[in-house]
Amino acid sequence: MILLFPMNRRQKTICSAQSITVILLVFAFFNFIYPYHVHYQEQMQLFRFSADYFRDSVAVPGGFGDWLGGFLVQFFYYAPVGAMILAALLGLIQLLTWKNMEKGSFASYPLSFLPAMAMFLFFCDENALVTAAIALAASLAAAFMLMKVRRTGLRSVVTILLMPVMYMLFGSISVLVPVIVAVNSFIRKESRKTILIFCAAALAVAVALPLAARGFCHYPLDRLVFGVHYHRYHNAIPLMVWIAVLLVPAVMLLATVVRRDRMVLASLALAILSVACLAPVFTDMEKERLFGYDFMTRMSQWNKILETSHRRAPDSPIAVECTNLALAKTKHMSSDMFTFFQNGPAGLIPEFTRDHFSPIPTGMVYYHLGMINTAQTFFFEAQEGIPDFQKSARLTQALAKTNLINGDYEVARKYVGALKQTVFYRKWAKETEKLLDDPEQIEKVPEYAWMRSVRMKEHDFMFSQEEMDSMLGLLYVENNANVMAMDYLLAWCLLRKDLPRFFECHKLLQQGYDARHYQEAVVLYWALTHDGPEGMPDFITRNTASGFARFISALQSGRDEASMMKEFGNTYWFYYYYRFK
Amino acid sequence: MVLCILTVSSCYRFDPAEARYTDGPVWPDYMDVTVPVGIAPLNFCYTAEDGPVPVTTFSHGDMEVSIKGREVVWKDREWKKMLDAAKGGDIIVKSSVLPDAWTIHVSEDEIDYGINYRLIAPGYEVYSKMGIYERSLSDYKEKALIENTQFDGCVNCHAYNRGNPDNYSLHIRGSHGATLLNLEGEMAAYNTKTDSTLGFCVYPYWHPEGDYIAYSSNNTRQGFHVLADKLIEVFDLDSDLQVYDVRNNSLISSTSIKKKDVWETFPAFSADGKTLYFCAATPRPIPAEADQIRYNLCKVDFDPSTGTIGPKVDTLIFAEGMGKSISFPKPSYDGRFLVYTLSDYGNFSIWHHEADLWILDLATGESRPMHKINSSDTESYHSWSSNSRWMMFSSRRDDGLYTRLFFTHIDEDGQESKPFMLPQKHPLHYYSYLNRSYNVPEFVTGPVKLDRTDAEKKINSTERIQFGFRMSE
Repeated sequence: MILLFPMNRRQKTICSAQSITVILLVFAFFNFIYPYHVHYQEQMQLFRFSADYFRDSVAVPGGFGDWLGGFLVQFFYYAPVGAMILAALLGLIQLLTWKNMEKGSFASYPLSFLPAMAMFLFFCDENALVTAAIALAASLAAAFMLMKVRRTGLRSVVTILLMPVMYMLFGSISVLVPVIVAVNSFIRKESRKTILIFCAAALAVAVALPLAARGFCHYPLDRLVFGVHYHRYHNAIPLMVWIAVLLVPAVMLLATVVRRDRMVLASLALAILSVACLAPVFTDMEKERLFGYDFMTRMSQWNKILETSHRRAPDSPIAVECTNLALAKTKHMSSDMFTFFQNGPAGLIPEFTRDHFSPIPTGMVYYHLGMINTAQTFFFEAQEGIPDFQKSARLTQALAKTNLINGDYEVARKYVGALKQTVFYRKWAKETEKLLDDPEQIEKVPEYAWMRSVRMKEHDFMFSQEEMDSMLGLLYVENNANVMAMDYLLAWCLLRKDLPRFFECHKLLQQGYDARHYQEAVVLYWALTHDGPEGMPDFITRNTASGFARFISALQSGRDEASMMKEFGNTYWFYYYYRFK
Repeated sequence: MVLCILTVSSCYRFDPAEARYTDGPVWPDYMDVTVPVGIAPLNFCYTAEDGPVPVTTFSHGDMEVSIKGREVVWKDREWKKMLDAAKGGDIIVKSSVLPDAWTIHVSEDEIDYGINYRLIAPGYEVYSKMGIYERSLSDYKEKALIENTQFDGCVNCHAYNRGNPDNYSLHIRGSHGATLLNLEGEMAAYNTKTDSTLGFCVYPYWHPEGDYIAYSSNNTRQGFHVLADKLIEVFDLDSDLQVYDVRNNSLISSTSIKKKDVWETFPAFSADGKTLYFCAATPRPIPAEADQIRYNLCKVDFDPSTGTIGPKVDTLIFAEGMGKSISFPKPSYDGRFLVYTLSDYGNFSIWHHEADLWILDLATGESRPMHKINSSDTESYHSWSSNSRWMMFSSRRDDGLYTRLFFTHIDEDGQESKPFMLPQKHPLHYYSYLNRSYNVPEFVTGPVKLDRTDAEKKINSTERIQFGFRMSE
């Protein structure tokens, strides 16, 4: 690099400090503010160490970058490691951008953060793929190496020859390589004629590459132009990626004018302000919370879910669904369910939706209930719904479990075989393989033994969301130990405000029939169907009876909803009269 | 580091523990099978993980080839040479670790160039990457004809006229729904749904003269069982048949195949083109009585000169009386036999573990199960080679979920041979990690000329040629 304004030692230290600070901030963001986005990324792929996986990956433009991306993303299994990888990648992009800024100076150093910061904003999208950052870093590195070639003609020829290779390895972002070479050649004031010829040739190759890729690649032209592997949704054009790409030549040119030391403040302000203003727009904390609920459900962190819901009331169907599952798993559903916001039966067991995320927590609910086939369907469909056609290590593991429980050992073995080729699921897969080799051992694993004991064994019927109460009831009838099924059945009736059905099912309870919400529902049902308290079940406590009397009195006095919520918001009565209308 | 990762991940090493689909000594089970002369090498592996390393010796006359190892992988040239020499005879196979020798009979009957099939995960409503693929039978090469990476939707119901790669019907579902018809090199996208028919045209079957295509229209739904041994039930809420007149761009229906109180599906023309076979059931409440829906094999006359569908429907096999249900009737092209799938109920036999293949002798009317090719698990979709001497069928015999392809030789008397699995270079590894099912396999007599760029353009465009409709006289 030719620095016209070489930095002194103090300036170098300041620049290094800037880089380290930004890397630490990025790490802190993904580790402390956005960790569940990191986990989400990991579960949307199944990276296998195998020849066929590698071969399939690299068969399309950008495939090698995608393969490397998959390799890195598997470490997102641990959020701090994922945050470190993302921080390192963005740091690398910044460093390489700086290396390519041939007229870079102390004043323009902050500008070198702009492409990396654009990529940071890109990664606030949970469907942003790491491949894009790898492709950008690789292109910057290639361009930097090419600029080491002093002879303009030779460099131009090598660049043109390298373009197809880079396109196949890293996809269309690699178009940046000839752009950087041209801009730096221009900055170096090399032969204009050579630069023009080079630009024309590079343009022709850049246009020809996606067209040529059409010959062997089953992707539409726009995908081959804007990148196959940069975003999980194949019909989305990753705008921020291309802004990051365009920012590279932009900052290279800007560096030629931002030279005086005092201008450092202006360029620093530009870098900080652009991120500070845009970051809130790009971050989606609502999704982060949802991914958090899903992650905690996956890890069976039931108490942590309840703590989270206590801190901030769950307000989306998935958050409510996970909270209810946690309540059931900690046996608090019948007493604390209405302490949390409830939004009708959809918050207990949502209907199937055709996407790659929402069926996962719902599948977990069915799994814990013992509806193994339904859980399997949800897991399978979620996996099939992953927009970039990947498989999911997490869901493959879930499918291996459901097939193992169902006794479909060869199918389970197939999934276990794939997981054996991973880093983080290999140990589990090997242990499970031993069970498949000796199925009698399966019963000795508490989780599988329990699932087999609570799953439906006698009554066959077609799953129907409309007949959820019947299905839950049969689960309980087949195994009275499946208390969760009964909790869900009663909760289903309560959330649907179907009190006659609730009352009918409640009679089946041998234990726990006097839980707080059940008492509230029984009192309410009694009041709605009887003229007086005579004959009311004797498990209704004085507290419940007096509380109900106060509630009815307040209701009849016409108190507003907010006031009612303050006093009675944690009761079934409040839900019955004010929610799910 | 990258080089290290590449080295580790790209080395193929045979691991017999990858999967164990059989209790037999070798997998795929190629013992005592009958194969066509042009088939790709039947590589296989021993299922025993330990013991002495086997030496497998193949011999025919003076020729002898020995292969050492737990995985038996042929050199293409040696295999072809031995197969050519053994045409009409047997290859004797001896193993150093097995007591008995076995044979591979090489039939003189040729098989078609290749096969086409859909590869799709055995899912329910949502689909990941899938497409229509072509595989040459003389080697292991597979190529994608069209994939859903090119558009939003899924591809299915592909059909050729007796394997003729120049004429095909291909149905696309989803927001870009269409039926692509390729007629003598000209491809066009059609809207097959008319005001007079039930819905889009599916389950195509070409008339032998190429002037007509029989379709059904099905209002299909699915339900999910809760017991362990069953997963899913796919059933129709209604279905009708119609015949597409290619020359006049018009669907032809008739009161005989469009009855309100009958569900008709799976049409197939007879070898002479004068009869239309199909399956028909009496409607019952769904899903309550889904397990009572039983399809019989029926036929109706068809006059190709006028496109007239006969008024009278005959029941060829009253499966209902046996407490069974028929799907996928496929007559052989020489007019001698008809093979169908028999299951306990319904018409989506791929999800029925009990589904088996049966063969009907059209000359005698006798019907029997094809014991040599049936297994304890699902056998379902099947198709005939153009010379009617080979039949390909799908089966879930290995793991109960992922459908794979098998081939059997059918002699002049309708006797099937022990089937062999679609060969792969490293079959155990390939099938262990293949996470998609083979679906709707069809023979083709040559490479299919499908311009996928043109197909993509036509699918993604909104232009559709509308099918016409008329009632049969």
